[in-house]
Amino acid sequence: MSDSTMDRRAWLVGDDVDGDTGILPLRFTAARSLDRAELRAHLFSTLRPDLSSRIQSGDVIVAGENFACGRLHAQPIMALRESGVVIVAASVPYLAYRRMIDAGVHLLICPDSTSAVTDGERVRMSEDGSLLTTESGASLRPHALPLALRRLVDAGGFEAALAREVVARKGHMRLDQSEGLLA
Amino acid sequence: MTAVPHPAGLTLSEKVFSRAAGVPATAGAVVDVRPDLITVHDGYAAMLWQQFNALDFPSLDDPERIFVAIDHEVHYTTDDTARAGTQLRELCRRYGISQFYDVGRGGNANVLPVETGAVKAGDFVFASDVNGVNLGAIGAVAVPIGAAISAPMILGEWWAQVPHTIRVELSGTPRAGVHSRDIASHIVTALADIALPTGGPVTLEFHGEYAASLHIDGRMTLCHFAMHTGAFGAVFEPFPTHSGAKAVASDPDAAFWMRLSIDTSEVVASVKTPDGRGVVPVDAVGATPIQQAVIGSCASGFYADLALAASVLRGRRVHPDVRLIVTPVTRAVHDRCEREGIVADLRAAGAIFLEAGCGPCAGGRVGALGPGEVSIATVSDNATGRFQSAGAAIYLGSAATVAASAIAGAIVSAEEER
Repeated sequence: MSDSTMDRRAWLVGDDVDGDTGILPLRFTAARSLDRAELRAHLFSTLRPDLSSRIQSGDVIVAGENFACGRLHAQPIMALRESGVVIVAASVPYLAYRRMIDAGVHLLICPDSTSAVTDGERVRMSEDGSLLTTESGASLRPHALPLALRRLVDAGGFEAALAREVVARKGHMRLDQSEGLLA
Repeated sequence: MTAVPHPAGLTLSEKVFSRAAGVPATAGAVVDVRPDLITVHDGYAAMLWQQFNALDFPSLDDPERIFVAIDHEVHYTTDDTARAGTQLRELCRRYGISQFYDVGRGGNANVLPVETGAVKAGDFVFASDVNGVNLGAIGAVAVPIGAAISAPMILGEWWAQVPHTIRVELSGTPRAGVHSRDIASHIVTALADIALPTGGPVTLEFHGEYAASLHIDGRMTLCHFAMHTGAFGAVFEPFPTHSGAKAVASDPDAAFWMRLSIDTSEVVASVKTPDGRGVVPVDAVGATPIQQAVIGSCASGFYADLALAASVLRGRRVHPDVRLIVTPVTRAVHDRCEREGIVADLRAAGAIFLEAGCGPCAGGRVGALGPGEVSIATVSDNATGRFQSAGAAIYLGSAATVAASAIAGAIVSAEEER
């Protein structure tokens, strides 16, 4: 396997990274900001001020236990979604897991993930996310997401899914109307 | 002839999921669920307004299943909050949502559906709010989904994952001065060191002598605090008086993920500290001076809590250095307290009342703390900044502890204060 396929970098953020401090400073949530670019620019800024400028879409955030703990508000989720990162966490509280999946955040659960990866190293991820290989030769095998949830994430989350559904239903309505006219 | 193996029994939650999904669903399964009710509060108004206008959708799947209440921003203090209220009213008109409870007409969306009868035992509910799980108190299963609440509103169904169930046996009778809030805090502590199953949600299911003794208010307090255990929610079996209660109960051979016993007679009155010590006995915080005391929220702002506070404060005065703020969780709770003289007793002691709803718990726009001030409250959470000021500290306790502390001007138990 060539190194050219190692097109992502992995970034470590540790255990107990909460939504209202670690993922995004609380002031953006308190202001109910819906400015996705602004939220993206401050991702993880309390933990690692330099990280958001180094993260590229597709990069892997390797988190320890209890990622996105606390009350997970909409703004930190929007920041993650906007950045296009893949989260590989040892564990995530269930409601946070559910909200990130709904929002279309790529999220994989993999115990002992942090010990296998060095911060900043290159990684390769298989298409279905079932295998991550690092530059240094370590392998991570995240739990498979249930198929329906993988489809939801691949579709871009609930907002994208709803938008498509609306278009489909409007198509049906037009068809019904034209049939009515013909009859 | 070989015996046909008897299929394993189902938990209460598995039964509710299976009916709402239309397929047999056991713990861990991801299914599409058609909810009996969808609850929404005004904290999501601006987000729904943006989503619905962008989608330009002509109708909702079934407006009759949608329940909307304004509880977070009841007293408008900014242009943004007033606008959000206007947007929510317009959405309810546009989509024909008739179960809409405006400012001063209902109260907290996590409680109100029980009062109005909008939710029944055995119902499956999608809630916008994380504390929607309060509805487990009557034997409904509520799944909080946040901003994605628009998906089932429009489509009529959305995905949910069947939870594993931890059966919690609450035995014994609490000592005098120990209330449902103290029991709830104790349950959180007891579950803190238990490794929960990964890869799926967990719910608690309460049983036992103490559970059977609880009224609806105490049941809601216990369900509310499940979210601090790593479970997403909790359920009780329906009240025995509910017709069909038996059908909404776990089978004797149900596959519980775990069984846990808690002796409620060992529980002491406690406070949750803001300094990382977690839940400690009230006397462990050493009469910390306070400037504010708050009774309210869908954690412990029920009739039982206001009545309890009144029993401590009746004929007494709130300490001159303390502001006591009371927010009944619903209009009906306020009205009942008015009829029974509880409002008069609390006001005579020096309390002020806010209109029914979330009160200071919803971000602290009302009842904010000054820098360096200390509050003791019955609210849901004491995360930094919850009552606005980042330099302030919030302790959490039962309505009895909050009332006693309001008299003393410092954190004390009702027993010590007397």
